[in-house]
Order: sequence, then C-alpha cells, then structure tokens
Amino acid sequence: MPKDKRIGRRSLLKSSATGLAAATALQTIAHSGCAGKTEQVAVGPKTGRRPDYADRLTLGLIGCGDLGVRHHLRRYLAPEKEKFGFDVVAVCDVDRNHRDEAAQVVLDHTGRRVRSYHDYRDLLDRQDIDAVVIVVPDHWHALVSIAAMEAGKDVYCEKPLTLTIEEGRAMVSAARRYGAVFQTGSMQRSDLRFRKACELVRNNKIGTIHKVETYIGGIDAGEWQLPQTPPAELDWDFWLGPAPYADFSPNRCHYQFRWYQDYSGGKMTDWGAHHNDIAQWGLGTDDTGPAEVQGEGVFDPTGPHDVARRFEVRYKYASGVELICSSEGKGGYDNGVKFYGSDGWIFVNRGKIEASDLNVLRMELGSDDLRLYNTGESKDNWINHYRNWIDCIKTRQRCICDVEVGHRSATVCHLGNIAMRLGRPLKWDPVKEQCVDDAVANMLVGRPMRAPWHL
Amino acid sequence: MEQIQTSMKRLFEGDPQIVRAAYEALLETVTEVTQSGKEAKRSEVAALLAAELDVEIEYGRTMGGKGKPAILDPLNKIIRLLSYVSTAKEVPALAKSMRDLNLREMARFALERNTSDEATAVLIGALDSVGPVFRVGVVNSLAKRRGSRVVAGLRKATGDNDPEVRQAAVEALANFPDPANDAIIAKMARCDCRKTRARAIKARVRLAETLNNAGQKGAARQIYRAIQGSNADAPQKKAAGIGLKA
Repeated sequence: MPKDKRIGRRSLLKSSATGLAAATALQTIAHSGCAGKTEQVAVGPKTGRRPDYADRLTLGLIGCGDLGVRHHLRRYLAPEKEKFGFDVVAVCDVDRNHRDEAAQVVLDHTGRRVRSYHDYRDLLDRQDIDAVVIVVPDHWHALVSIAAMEAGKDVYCEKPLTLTIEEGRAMVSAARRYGAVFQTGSMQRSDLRFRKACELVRNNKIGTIHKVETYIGGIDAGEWQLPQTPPAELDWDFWLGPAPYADFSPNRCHYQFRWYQDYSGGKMTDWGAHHNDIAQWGLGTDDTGPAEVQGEGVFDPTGPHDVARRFEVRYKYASGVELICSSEGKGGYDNGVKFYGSDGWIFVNRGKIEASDLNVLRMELGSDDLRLYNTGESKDNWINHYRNWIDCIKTRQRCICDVEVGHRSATVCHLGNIAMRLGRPLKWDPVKEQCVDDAVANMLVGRPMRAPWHL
Repeated sequence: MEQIQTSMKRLFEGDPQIVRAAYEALLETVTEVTQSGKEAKRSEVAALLAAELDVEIEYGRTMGGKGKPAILDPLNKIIRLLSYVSTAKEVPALAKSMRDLNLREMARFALERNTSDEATAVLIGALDSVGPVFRVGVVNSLAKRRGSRVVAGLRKATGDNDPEVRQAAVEALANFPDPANDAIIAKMARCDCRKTRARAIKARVRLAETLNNAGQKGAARQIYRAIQGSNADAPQKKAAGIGLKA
C-alpha cells in the first residue's frame, strides 16, 4: 500500500453515491414468522456499501485487564473467532503485563502474533482495523470510544457506558456523526429470560406497571493502602488520564477503580448499568428517562472507597411509574429486577425468572403483541450480544444496546449518584438532559478533565 | 461554622481515615449549602474554604513523591470542595492556587465550574502567563464557556508558539457556532503534519455540526462540502456525507 494512500479496508468496497439512503428513519425489524408489532429500532443511514459477508472483520482490543482478557478475549474473542468471523489483530493497554498477556492469549488461540500497543491512539491509527472492543475503566470509555469512531471504527464498549451524563451525549453525537455501529456491553438484553420478562411487561401481561425494583448490591469500605511507586509495567499517569491526579495504590486501579468516584460510580453504575437498563427496557423508556429522582446513600469514611456503600434511590417517570434502585435485596429477591403490575409481578435475574402467577411465564405472545429486539437464541447471552454487533457492523443496523440505549441507562445511574451526593430531590428534564432549577446538580452532569484530555 | 473549621483542620492530619471522615463531613456541608435559599450560608462556607488557600507553601529540595509538602493534599481537597460553592469572590484565591504547580489543575477545575465573568477573565489571562502544558488545560476549560472574549482568547491561542496549544485552541473553536472559525481550523487542516491535519479536520467536522445545531445550516453545508472535496481521511468524508444528508 503506498505510504501516502491511506485506504481503509472497508473503503476498498465501492460505494455508490446513488446507493446512499435517505436520512435516519424509524423502521421496524421484522422477525421471521412473526406478524405482530416489533420493537421500533432506529436505523441509521446506510453507507451504500454492501459488505462482502465472507470478509472477515479485524478487531482491536483496547483494555486488557481482568475483564478484557479473562472474559472477552479468553472466552469469546479468541476461541469464538470462527463462529463470529473476525480476527483480533491488535491489543492495547497501559499496563505492559496486561497487553503482553493479551497478545499471548491471541497467539495461543490463533497462532497469530499481534502487535500490542501502549497508546490506544496508535492502535486506532491503523487502517486495517475495522472495529474495537473497549474494556478500559469507566473514566476512559468516552474518550477512547469517540476517538475510535472518529477513526472510522465501529465500537463495542463495556458498561457502564460513561462516567458522566455529558460524556454519554457526546458519544451519541459522535456515533451519529460518523455513522458508527455501537454496541454497549449490557448483554442482559441478549438473554432469553430478561427479554421474556420485558416482553411480558411491555405487553401488559401483568397489567399496568406501577413500580419496578432493582436490587444491585453494596460494597465494603475498602482497605487503606499507603501511596506507592507504581509498578514499572504500569503507566500510572496515562491510566489516570482525564481523572484528577492521585498517588498510586494497588486498590485504586485494576478492578478496584469501580469504588472511586473519580473513575466510576460504584455499584450504582457497575450493576445499575445492568438492572436499571433492564428496567428501562421493560418500561419502554430507552429514548428518555425519569423525571424525578431522590436517594439516600451511606458514604462510609472508615475506608478509602468514596462511592455510596449502601443506598436506595427512587425515580419517578413521567408516566407515574416508580423505579426503586437499592443496594439491598427484598423479600428473598436479590441481584435482579422486579416489575410490579396491577395484575401481578415478575422477577428476573441471571439465574431465574419468576412471577406471581406462573401461568404468565407460560404465555405465548399473540400475533398482536410487541416483540422486543431478539439477538439470538443461544443460552449464552454473550454469544448473542457479540453476534448482534458483528451482524450490525455488516448490515449497518443499530445494535440492541445502541449507544443511545447505553447512555440513557447510564444516565439513570448517574442521576442516582448525583441525587445521593447532593442529598436532595432532583427534577430531571430528559429532553434537555438537564436538572430543573439546580445549577450545582447540572454542574455534576459533566466533569472537568485533566489536560490534555477533553471531549 | 465551628464544625466546618474543625473538619478543615482535620484535613491536615496525616491519618487517612481522619482525613476521609473530615472530607465527607465537609462535602455534606458544602452540598447542603448549595440548596436554593441557602445563599448566605453558601457564601460563608465558600469564604472559609477560600481563606484556607491563602498560604505560602514551602517546598523542600526534593520534589515529586518524596519531597511533596504534606499540605498539598488537603489544599487540593479544599479546592475540590470549593468548586461546588465558589463565586466571583473566591476567584482570586483560586487564581493564586493556579500559580502552584501542584494545585493548578484542581484550581482550574474549580474555575471551570465557576460561571462568573471573573473566572472567565482569569482563565483568559492564564493563556499569557502559564506554561504550555497547563495552557492546553486552560484552553480546554475555555472551550466550555461562551462569549466574544473567550473566542478572542482562543483565536489568539491558535497562534501560540506551542503546537499542542495551537491544536487544542483549534479544537476548542469547533464548539462555537461562528462560521468564521472555519477559516482558522481549515488553515491547520492544510499543514504538512498528518496527525495535526487529521485532528484539525475532525474539528472541522464538529464545527459543521455545531453550526448545524445552531441553525446555521448553510454554513454547515459549506464546510461539509469543503471536507468532501479535500484530502480528508475517509471517516471525515463519510461524516461530511452524513451531515449533508441530514
């Protein structure tokens, strides 16, 4: 390839100006054998490119920590490459040990030596990479995702999608601007049980919904550790990135970052991004959010973790439905979502689905009933979720957890954290994405970033 | 107020558990006084916090992890708390903190959150008085503000002698719905350095969207067409195509 001719793999396929479709329109996605309504899924403008389905996609993995390697790479990206039709060709992490391990995993599974990168921008500069899987800490999700989309890559980004509400809107804007296919890693939507629960709810099989409860667990106070010199393999300053400077201690990064508000939102975002996302799906509020929020959180200063350890946050939607997100389980139900309707309830989590009336669970949907986005029938929801993303990269349809979905679900969680921190009820305008008459709450919708980083 | 002062004193103690408890107590106070109707209390709290920043920090011979004065961490915490409640009155204290290498980023964060004209003036003034690395941060903070003085400051920064500052300023101008900014951004988009060019063209795409969102569709379309006719990378040309179709 000539040095000054930067032709991406995908642009090798001819795109015709006449092939460009009209602007974004809502279309239904018909499921075979199903004559009833289907979930309205916005379809972005097609590029006019008709990708060769035999073409293998090339992926880069950005973020090779515990989740990136142990889960994404070892369980799916490397061993399932034939099933999905892609190749991991590059890995990136600011921890040299992590990226070396990732490169070794790829070599072990595929026989291919891949290049490993310290700086994600160098990986994104490669024209031969079609898409990236982003498994970096939350405070990096927006910057890496936006840079990836600006580089023409499609994105799979782990949940919670964002550290702030402002970041989420910026990511949605970038995705639309660049026509990127974006999947949020909220793979519960690709799980048969969660979809079934939401379909039953959306089709009023337990009557009119008046309340949803999500139980997402709490955390401990953490262990005090003195500041230390960062290990040689870790670029600590780069790891911090846009977050305020803090001296290194092992309990501040590599999974534990979740419990520090400079990098994440605690259990509220870690598991709220899963269960509040299902609540949003069941309520049919993916393009909006709650109108009111108030919450109480216990911030325990006996340890270094500065996110809420225990909490209960109450949201009210414009429809009058209440969502209660709690760190505690209730009535024997835990780590899941419970929908309450006028005619009963349904509880669902990763292990089970139950209802006040078991007959509800045996119901078949009628021809007039709404079908929700179905990514596949594999019992492994990760397989369905990944396959959905890969398929959408080829068809340019929106994924089941499109960036807007991920952003709105994360927003529910962020509002909870803001309300807890401020200790007062908030009114939220989900159209303007601003709190009503609360300048300080609005200040917390975004955050300053350490130089040189900016949205 | 006595409780606040007690908590502030505790921030300076070495025990991390005591410091953390004091910070939580102060944060609770600070967030409480941001409620509507508590403006007088808010002013008092802000003044108390700002007063703590009026210190001279003595640096030993060694810098970095070993030589950093213990006072820096509590001062950074105070600045962080101040970012919730500061008004124009506290800007001088924040401006002073911005002159310290180890406090300046947190002070900039607080000024970024301070919506007063005085904070804007300090940030604009900082473009002429701080080093290049920090100037980039100042530019990024100004990118979130509005007003002709801000735009003038950013435009001036596009001629800075540091390339990263110039680039940051060009990117910042993309946030302002003024078609005249395109000429400045487009000039950088013609430079020889590929990476600089690429970043500038991305800024051009964003400017076009900013203009579009502000109702200046004709100006936006002009930029999109210019991008399509340029040597922009494929993603930016695609984005321009999407913008034209929208």
